[in-house]
Amino acid sequence: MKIDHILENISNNKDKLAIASAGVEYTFGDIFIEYGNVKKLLDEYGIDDGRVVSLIAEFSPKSIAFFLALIERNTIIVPISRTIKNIEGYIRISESEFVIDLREEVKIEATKQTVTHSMLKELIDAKTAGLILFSSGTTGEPKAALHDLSHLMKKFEKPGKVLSTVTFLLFDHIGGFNTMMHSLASGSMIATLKERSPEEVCRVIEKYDIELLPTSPTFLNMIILSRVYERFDLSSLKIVSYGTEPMPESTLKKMHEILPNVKMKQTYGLSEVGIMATKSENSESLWMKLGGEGFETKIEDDILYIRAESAMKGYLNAPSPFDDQGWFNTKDKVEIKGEYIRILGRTTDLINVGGEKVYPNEVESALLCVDGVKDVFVYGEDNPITGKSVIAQVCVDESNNNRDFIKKLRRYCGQELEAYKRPVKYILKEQAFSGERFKKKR
Amino acid sequence: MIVVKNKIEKIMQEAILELNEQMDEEKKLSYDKELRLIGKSAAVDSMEFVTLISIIEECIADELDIDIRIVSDRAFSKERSPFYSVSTLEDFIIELIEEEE
Repeated sequence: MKIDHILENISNNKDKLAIASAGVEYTFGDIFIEYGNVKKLLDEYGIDDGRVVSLIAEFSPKSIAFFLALIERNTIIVPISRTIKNIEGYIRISESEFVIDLREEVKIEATKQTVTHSMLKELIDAKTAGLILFSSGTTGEPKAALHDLSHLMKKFEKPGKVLSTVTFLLFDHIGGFNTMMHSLASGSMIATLKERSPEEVCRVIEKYDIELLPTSPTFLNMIILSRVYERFDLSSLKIVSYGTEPMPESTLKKMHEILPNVKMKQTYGLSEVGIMATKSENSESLWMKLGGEGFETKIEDDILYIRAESAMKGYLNAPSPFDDQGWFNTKDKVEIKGEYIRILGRTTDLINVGGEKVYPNEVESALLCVDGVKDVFVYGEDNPITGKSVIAQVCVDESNNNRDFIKKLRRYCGQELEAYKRPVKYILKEQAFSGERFKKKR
Repeated sequence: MIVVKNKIEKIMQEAILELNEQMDEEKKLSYDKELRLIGKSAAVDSMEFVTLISIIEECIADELDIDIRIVSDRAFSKERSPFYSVSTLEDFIIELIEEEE
């Protein structure tokens, strides 16, 4: 696949800072040099057109150079982040023929697998590059979404706005891919994180005058609670984009108070269809316009459907989620107000309490307003009487880890929530419970 | 036996007080052995009942260090429902605890 415009852009910006990683700064010129080295390595190992290649890495000049060189020679790339526990599973499901492991020294190995899946073969026959992204489901095998990269890369044909960015989203996430490609196409610098703590994120923003922070609502809650923003100069920040899970209204309001000049922008992306352009009504609003070139939306029974040119070809290990007209059921329930929509939550996250539907994020949003609550995770548990009941895990300090605090939570929910939405059980915890991806797992 | 009975009474009182925290003013309950928990003249609805049971189970776990499941097939198969009143529920809980001990 031709990536001439990106290579040209890299070469034009060769003296500009491209990546700050682990305290070391690299220019676009450094990526260009790596790109030359990597091409030789790929030749040496016979990794050419139509191969399926796993790339275990985080963002670095080397991993980006590999990505570009693999796109250019029409391989099917399987980016795997080092946080993945089941790397062997990903390699097996994707039928990878080669594994490039950049965790320490560069290690390239051929696997004994051959490509048998018809969808992979189709893409190989079409002589175009591919991308396999795994969904991080909590139950069962992760689903492997196969994309035709020529579709995903279309939006990077135009350079886009220059915005220095923190790489909060991982290498193997559609959002991470988006950040990387945007950086290369626009000549924007990206700064990687040593760890994904509020402290480190704020430190990196201050140090590199970061303008864009793509993140998740759960992580924004952690920033609010830790109050680290008081200790760093975040005045360079222009946009905070958030996606991956529904945003509690309380979190959005607090963030807007803390950073009144920063635009809070919701993103809507799914590894199955790509990332859509959105326009939030304003920085305090959860209402947004969805769409953009190459995307169509429709709403049926309050559920959002998307048809996209950039949609994946399909899952390698699960039935196609598209209907015969190509619509993808997002399973997100939405509300409509004129041209704007608001995401209420995944219907699969719904807790059905005696026939009444409860969205966990609504309960979480209410509980987050209680003084002393550091984080909340709401889910459903089987109940012999109501089918499901609402359970709230609440992160608190030691001083609040007692029955009196539970009474306080009950009192608050009694005032704020309808009876069926009130948690039946509260589980107090002193340690935070966010996963590696700062996205709540239900 | 009497010790357990007193403890369960106390837990029941505490649980009712905790449930009251989330109840509307006019629905708040007072501890009464004859308070109806299910059926036509029940003082609580199904959600409140489920919550009350959950609080009782947690208090028993916290204070007596015993895990019991109050709503089970066994409770449903009893000839007279153990959930009829506070008094019958207390008796049923004592039965469950004695089995655990």
